[in-house]
Amino acid sequence: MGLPEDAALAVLAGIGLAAIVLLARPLLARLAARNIRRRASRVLIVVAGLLVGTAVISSSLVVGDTLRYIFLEDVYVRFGAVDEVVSNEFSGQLLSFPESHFEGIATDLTAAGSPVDGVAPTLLKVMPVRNVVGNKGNQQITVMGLNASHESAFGPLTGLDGGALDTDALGPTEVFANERAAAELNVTLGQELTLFYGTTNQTLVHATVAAVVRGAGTGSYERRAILFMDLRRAQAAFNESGAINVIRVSNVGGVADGVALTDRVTQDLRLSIATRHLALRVQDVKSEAVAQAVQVGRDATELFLVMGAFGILAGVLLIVNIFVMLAEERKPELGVARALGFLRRDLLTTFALEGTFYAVLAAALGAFAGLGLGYVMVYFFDRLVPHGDVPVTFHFDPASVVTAFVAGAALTWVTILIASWRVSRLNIVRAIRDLPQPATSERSRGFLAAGILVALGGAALTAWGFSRDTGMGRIPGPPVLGIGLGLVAVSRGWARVGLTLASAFNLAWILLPFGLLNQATDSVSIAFVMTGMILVGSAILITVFNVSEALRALLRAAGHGSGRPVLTTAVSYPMEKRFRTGMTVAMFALILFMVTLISMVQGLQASSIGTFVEQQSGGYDVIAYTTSYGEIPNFRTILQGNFTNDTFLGGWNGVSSASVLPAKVQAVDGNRSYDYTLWGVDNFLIRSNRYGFTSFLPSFVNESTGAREDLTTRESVWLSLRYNHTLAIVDRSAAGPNQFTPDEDRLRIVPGTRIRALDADGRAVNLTVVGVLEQALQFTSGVFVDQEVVQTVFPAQEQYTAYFFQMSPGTDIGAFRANLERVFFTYGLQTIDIREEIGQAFDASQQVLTLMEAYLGMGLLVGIAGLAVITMRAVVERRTQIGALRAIGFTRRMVLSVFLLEIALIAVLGVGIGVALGIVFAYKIWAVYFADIIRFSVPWDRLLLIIGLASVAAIASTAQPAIQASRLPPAEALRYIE
Amino acid sequence: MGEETIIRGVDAHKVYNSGPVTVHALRGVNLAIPRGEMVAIMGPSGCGKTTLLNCFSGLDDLTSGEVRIEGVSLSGMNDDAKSRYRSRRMGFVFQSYNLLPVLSAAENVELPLLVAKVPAKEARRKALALLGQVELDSWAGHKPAQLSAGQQQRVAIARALVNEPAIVWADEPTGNLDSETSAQIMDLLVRLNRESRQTLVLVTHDAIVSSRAHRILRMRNGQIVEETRGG
Ligand SMILES: Nc1ncnc2c1ncn2[C@@H]1O[C@H](COP(=O)(O)OP(=O)(O)OP(=O)(O)O)[C@@H](O)[C@H]1O
Ligand SMILES: [Mg+2]
Repeated sequence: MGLPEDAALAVLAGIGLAAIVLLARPLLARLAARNIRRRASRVLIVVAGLLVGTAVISSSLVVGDTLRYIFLEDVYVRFGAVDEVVSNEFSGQLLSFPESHFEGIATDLTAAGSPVDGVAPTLLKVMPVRNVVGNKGNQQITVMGLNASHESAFGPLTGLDGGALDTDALGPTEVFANERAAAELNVTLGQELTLFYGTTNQTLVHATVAAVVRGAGTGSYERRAILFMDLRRAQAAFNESGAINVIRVSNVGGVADGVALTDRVTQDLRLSIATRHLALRVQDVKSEAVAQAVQVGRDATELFLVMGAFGILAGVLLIVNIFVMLAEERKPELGVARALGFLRRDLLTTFALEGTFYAVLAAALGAFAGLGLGYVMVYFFDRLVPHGDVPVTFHFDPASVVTAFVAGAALTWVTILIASWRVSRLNIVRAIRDLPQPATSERSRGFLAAGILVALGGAALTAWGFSRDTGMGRIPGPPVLGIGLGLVAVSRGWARVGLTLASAFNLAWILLPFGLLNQATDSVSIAFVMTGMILVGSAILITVFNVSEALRALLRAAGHGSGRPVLTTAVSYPMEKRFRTGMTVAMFALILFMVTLISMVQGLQASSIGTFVEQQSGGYDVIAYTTSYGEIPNFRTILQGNFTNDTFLGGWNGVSSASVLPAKVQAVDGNRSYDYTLWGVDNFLIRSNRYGFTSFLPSFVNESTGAREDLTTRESVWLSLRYNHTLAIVDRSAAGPNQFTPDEDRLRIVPGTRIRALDADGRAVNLTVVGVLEQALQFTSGVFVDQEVVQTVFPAQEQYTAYFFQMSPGTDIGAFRANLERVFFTYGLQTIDIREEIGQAFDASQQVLTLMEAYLGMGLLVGIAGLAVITMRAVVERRTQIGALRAIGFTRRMVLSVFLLEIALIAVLGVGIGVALGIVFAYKIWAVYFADIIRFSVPWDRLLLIIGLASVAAIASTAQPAIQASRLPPAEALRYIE
Repeated sequence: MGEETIIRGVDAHKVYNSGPVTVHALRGVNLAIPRGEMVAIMGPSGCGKTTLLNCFSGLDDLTSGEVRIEGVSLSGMNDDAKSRYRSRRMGFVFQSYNLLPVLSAAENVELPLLVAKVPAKEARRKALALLGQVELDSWAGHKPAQLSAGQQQRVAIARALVNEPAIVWADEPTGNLDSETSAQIMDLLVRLNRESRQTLVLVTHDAIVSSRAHRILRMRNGQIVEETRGG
């Protein structure tokens, strides 16, 4: 990465500069050191506040590291020494090819001097297997036929005792089972297995388990449950003599570093295949999986960074706030220093020196804190999110910690430098008297110039955004223009009106329900962060310029009671210090905005899960399917023999089926084809399903009567498949981007589009799309046609069958599935409970969102640290005022109330702005992108909890200094000189 | 003196124990001040004048001895009672004004009234009236930072007097003022003392100021060493 190196140089340069100054100007250094030492507890808070940004960066990187590591380890387990695979795959099925291809390719590789150390022919089949004695079966057992003489490079199979095993040594009916197969079949040595092989006429193969092999290397290939056989014997058993379906290739080098040679080896393999005109394809499986693992890590980092961005931003505001406050506190002393002849440059240097100390210390601590935060995230990820067989272990790259340190230090440092520069530009007299710096004509000219510049920039951004069709210009352009014009108004002395109007316009621009993003090309992450900044910034400006007026009006209207003096005083302080207040409110708002958004997503998901399940299931509770056998003969007869008709909704009519063909589908006028499933649905399914449409054709021609008939209802569209065999229905995944399939290379189908579905041998059928379903389906995605279309056009051995069941209410679905799988075991029938599957996915995603909220909750620490700093500062700076209040007759409780009210006001403003913006922005996103899929709702209970937690945290963190202030004996307070 | 004693201190001792040093700031002060008297306390810096003011007004606690205000012992009052008493019966003018910078002059002046639960409208009316008396009518809406030192001191005096206190404690009320302004302020205090029989205890270094008091107490080393009748 380029950024960290540049940033590292910058930080090193900064530290170097600081060191030079330390040596050259020891007086300034002493001043800075004295400032740091003066209040050790303050340093603690300052550093704690500063380190949050770095911690966010560091934890994002570390989470990415861990995910990358986990997935890489998984890749190594799944592929072992295998780097490339040569096969003829069609829509997920491995087609067989002559073993002679393997010899040819191996010869070519040797001739080309290709850097491979192993090439192995393999016959890989998946089938139902039953353990006769143990009475346990599994439909998805992989059987691999290996030729031991080619296996040496892939590592030997090892028995549980650690001894090497060899398929050559197996007896005629013996197999090795890997650990996973042994577990799933509950099999021990010497037990007999029955293998059910074949898609139409089943062959039964009997085998005895000779040994259990460790799940490592070839023994854990693709993490499958595997039975290993000798290749010759497998070929004989499965009627594939002289045929294989996979060639595994291992590059020179180990499991991890062999990947480096992938390009070369892949090239050699392709050349060999091409010159021999073989119908084979090379897949660089490992390097692809490695790339994917790296991408997963990067995506995770980006996700955490985007969400953490608001935390980082809040951190920056905190830094500015702290430094401006430090400066304010020292204003008189700085003024005296200037009067005594210190140059502005000297002041800047002293301040920057102090800042450098904070920046470096905070970044170092933050980088390590991020490590801990990352660990916590990974820990909860492991506990909350289902992750199959993949073990989760915390892992980090030390470079990430360094990167985070550098980035954090740079960020802090730059912010501090800017703050210092501002501080050093003090007017001497006013500084000594601790007065606000006045507006000068020079300053108003500055505003005018800045305003015009910013406005021009905004106009240019807007023009660019619209002409190039990108949200990167459309989102910030008009708001920047607006702020520019607002600044011009400021220069004319209309700060309040100008900035309020500009901000109101900005809010409207972002929040009105029209899309600004170009979904195809824009980076959603950047757009999102930008949008959030504009929203929060605008709301803060409006607040800062109007809330004091609003509150005063409210106060005037309020009653007299004893709360009155407390209220007046409490409200006056934050409104007098607008900058400080605005910054603190913004910190809270930024974080609450993000937390609210996530919780809105969570709530929307929760409130639409019911409808979603209905739409996904099409009214079916259980779907059963075979993947290793075609159509189950006499399915209905067997079903009726084993179940009663009141099991199903509407009796036997509640059972439907579809002939399934893995196919390639392309638009008739297009030339790219995509993997799609062709569902030939039977009459039962056509009549009983409850899938709805987003769009369909107005009419169709009935083939049997030749008449054109209108399509008006959902049912009529489904029925049209029956009366016209050239029609097809597609689910929404074939209709462009949606919630499951982002904008990838996919079919873009609308009703009326003509498509062609093909099988591996080029058999094809042309179809016209009559309707598009309202959902992209997770379990039954694809192209739906009448069953006869599939059965007449394509051969039976290519097809599988899916069965759909609508269950009577109150049926024990788990027991039904178990029975069904048992009855049809030999056909490898598998079942899914749609509700349960979606429910699990839903739970997992809700958990992840909760985790994200918790992560962001850490960001709240920034806001709270900010409040704590402000309160501590307020207590110090108002010490004598507290004395005066006490002398006037304020009781301790009243003084405490002043402080708490003030904090509450800031917290309520920040929390309120963040939550309100989050809700409205979520509404906009919903209105623009999801209105047709889900219903809008606000999860008030969740939001109230968040609001409550944030408020309590705010009060809790500031209560201590406030209480301390109220306990101060009046004489003590009055006497205080800072 | 047949008059009622409003402030009475008996063998008042105050010892500061902050850090390694112990300072015996009051060493047995006995003092009785009748209602309506104007007393000036003088003495070198560090002799215990501010300490006396603080301890006798209840802003601070004595180490030993007793102070009674209007017959009630301060040590018998809890913090809230003392606060309430201050809001109704006492007014303070500090050497460094101690106005609330975030409130306007009028808001500063009316604050004690609001604390004493006077309705807002009436409080504002009285505050403006007092600002009028200190000749700051047209500065009512200004924040302290926008006022000169003398103006700020006058706001502070208005604040001390607005609730018509029985006792006004003033710690060098004219310390930062030129002699002319200082004379004006003293005129004001004297007039109020005479008109509404307020008891006034003021600390000053200024002989011209103290010359207007009924009685001058001189302090040295935590004790009252000399008493002069004036007026
Ligand atoms: N809170 C305190 N802790 C410790 N010592 C104190 C404290 N307040 C006052 N003193 C000490 O008590 C002594 C009397 O102080 P006090 O403020 O009463 O003097 P003063 O007569 O008001 O002086 P000045 O005219 O300078 O205001 C001084 O020696 C001072 O150092
Ligand atoms: Mg004093």
